Amino acid sequence: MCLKCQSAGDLDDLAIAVARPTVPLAGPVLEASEPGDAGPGLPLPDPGPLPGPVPNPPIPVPLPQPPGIPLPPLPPFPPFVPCNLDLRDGCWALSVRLGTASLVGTLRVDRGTGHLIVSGDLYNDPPPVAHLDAPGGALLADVPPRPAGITSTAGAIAAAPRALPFPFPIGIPIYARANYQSYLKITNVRVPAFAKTPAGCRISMTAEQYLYTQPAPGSFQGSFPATASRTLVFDMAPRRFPILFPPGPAFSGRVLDNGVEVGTVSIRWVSRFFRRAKVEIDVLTGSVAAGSVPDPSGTGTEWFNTVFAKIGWDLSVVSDQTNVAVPPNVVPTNCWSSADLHALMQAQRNPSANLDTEWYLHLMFVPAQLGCGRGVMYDTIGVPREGAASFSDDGYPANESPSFGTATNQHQRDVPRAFLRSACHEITHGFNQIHQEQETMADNSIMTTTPSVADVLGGPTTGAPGVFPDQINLGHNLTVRNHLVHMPDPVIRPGGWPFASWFGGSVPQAADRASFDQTELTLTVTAERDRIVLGEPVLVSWTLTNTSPVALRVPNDVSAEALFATVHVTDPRGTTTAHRPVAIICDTVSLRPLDPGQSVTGSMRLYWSMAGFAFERPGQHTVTVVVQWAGGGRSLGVEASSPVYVDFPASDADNAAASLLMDPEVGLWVALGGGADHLSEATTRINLAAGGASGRGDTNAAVTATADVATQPGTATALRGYAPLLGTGSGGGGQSGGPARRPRKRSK
Amino acid sequence: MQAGSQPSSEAGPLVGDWTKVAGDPGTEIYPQHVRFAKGTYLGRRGESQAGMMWWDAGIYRLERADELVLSTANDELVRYQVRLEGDNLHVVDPSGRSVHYRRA
Repeated sequence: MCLKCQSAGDLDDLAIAVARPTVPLAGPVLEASEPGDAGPGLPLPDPGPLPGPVPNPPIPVPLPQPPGIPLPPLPPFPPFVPCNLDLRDGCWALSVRLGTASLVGTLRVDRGTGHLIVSGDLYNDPPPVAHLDAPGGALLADVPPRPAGITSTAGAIAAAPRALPFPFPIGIPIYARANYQSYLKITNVRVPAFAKTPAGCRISMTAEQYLYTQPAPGSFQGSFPATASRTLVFDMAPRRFPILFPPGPAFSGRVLDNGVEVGTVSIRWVSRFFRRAKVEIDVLTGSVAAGSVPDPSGTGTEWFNTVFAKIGWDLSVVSDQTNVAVPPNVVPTNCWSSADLHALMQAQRNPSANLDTEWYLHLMFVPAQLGCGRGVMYDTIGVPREGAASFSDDGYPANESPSFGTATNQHQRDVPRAFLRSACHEITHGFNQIHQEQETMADNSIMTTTPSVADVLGGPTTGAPGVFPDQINLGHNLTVRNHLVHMPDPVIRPGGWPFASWFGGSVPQAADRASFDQTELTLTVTAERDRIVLGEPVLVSWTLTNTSPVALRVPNDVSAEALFATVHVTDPRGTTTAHRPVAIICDTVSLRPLDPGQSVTGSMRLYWSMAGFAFERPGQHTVTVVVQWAGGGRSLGVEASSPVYVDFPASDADNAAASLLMDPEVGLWVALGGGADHLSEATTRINLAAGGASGRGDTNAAVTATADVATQPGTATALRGYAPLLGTGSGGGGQSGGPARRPRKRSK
Repeated sequence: MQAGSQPSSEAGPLVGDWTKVAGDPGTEIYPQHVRFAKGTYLGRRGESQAGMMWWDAGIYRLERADELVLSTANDELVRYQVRLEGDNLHVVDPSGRSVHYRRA
């Protein structure tokens, strides 16, 4: 194993294909002190527990001293101190003072995807009473705006929609939309585990600040610049409070701009959740609300709050009114117009709902009927995204998908899991997320439309009976999850930006890597077959091409063994697993200029890894390749995906072959590139599958099946995936059709 | 308020792949390519199309020969006036903008 490279086990990239709107995605946060180097792009380790104690050296014995002469002090040992800096995941209340400007907001520290992503939002806040405006004093760009007719700081305080919070607000703070000031994309975090002195135990964050231009009167969409307005450094030490309140760690320190101190900053952990919101549910007479459903583990239930808790949102649900009266001139069992739903929301929503103090969404359940679309985020009227509706008596018409299974032609109220999924879909539209068919690809996640989810899962002829609705994944995919956690507040919160207005525009978003534009660097992924059977390996190849007019420094080796590329497989249930080769070969890897038009390629015979089988069940899978490296202090990368559909065994021979070949030792044989005849269990199984062994009593340790046999008509279909690894008839061993390492190949 | 109709189980006249060949200003929100299946559709961007597609994925039906009901990006059912002439589909959206698709 290469000493310069991280072991395969350290790479835990869960990337799923992300279509990047022009939201500046924050590069990965390097949670260390090293600047970017030529190493593979690595996910940042969780600070985790400190290393074990340093072994005690022999205790030095002082020399005897004459009486009366004091012993010299011993040098400190060990020569460093543990820092124990707790930058835990969750939401941190943020306070920044820049000159006379007081900014407050939230910072989200997120390691939930295996990388560290930190983002924040800042709002203008009236300064404390003690900081009164100086007569004739110049106003800085950051001076908080006052409501119309108010010019003094004291007036701004008195006109605030709520009382100024106690110095230590509990929970995730929420601020008025009109006071939104900037988005923070954290691009570097330093959290030392040890320091020479306690004073060196400081957290350093590099924050790109995107100053926000508020929307024009009557509009709800402001704007962000395409590039950061400025870059600040937060240099903070732990704050110790004499009492336990407030719960959670806190840090404070200075704000630096180009090395010059320009203000102060403090952060205080307030919640294990990243964001919070409230959904009010009202139910029309004749309708029912989506209820909770058993979770797949069978140990609990799932409902709106648990679905959003998975992505770190604290969603409180208020089941308010039932038997709401049908509005006049409305037939509730017809499809509803957006205008009627909007009017109903305005009439029924709790009048105390205040979008400046809560992220508040109204969800109305009405009957409707089959063919109405199961629900709608109707509110593109006036204040954006105040409400959504779900249709209890709509459902799953057969003409929309052949894969609805037992839900076909049923009403949503009678298919609880699908009903809940559909309602979560509309709520998520309310938080400004879009269909994944448009943004990434159809998958088994909440923001894919219902018919597409059913088709992804397959049906009675293509998948296990009952896959829809039983195997519906009540979860958001990684793309939507990261949007919901890290997009700027105005884009996400109800009453903020209009639906989908962020797509294709300039909205910053912290992310785990800086991505290239398609006109710069592209990655294409190809599976040798897009349709395989259970037990069949498939060769996946990828090509990184410089599509820019200049040379780009990229990895010279993008094979999976070189660790710059990681391969992920998302199964029909939406579960993603990273698959890495068994051998790591990275001693010659480095970053090298790749000329315009040139490419580097990699490949992997995907079947089994230490993470298990890549294709464990029939249905639609997605293979995603991410090529990632560090450069200029940031993580850079590209990713691409290719679908692979796994068929059910269609014959007795295929069924028997699958049961023989879906064995970890067979998997290891494939992963080693064939020829591993010392794996006797594997060779026996392969021979049996190929019909080349008389039975388990056959002690021939070598694989006798040949490539010709594997591709003969009548042979189990899965064996065609083994053909490149099998010999040509000389018996035993095998050519390495999927070599452990493919040398770098440059092509025009 | 819209009355829903029972979806047909037969393949309709729109089933297939369509490509946008012309459109009024403002119709950039409609995808360059649309595939109509039996009861669902899927929009696909053209190479130069970068913004939000309002027809992205959802359900559709011809309520009448001249009226297409289609669920848009926010799942809203919207009615479009249409005229199907052989392999040409002419659509007028609620804002009065025209877009012309041709069967691929």
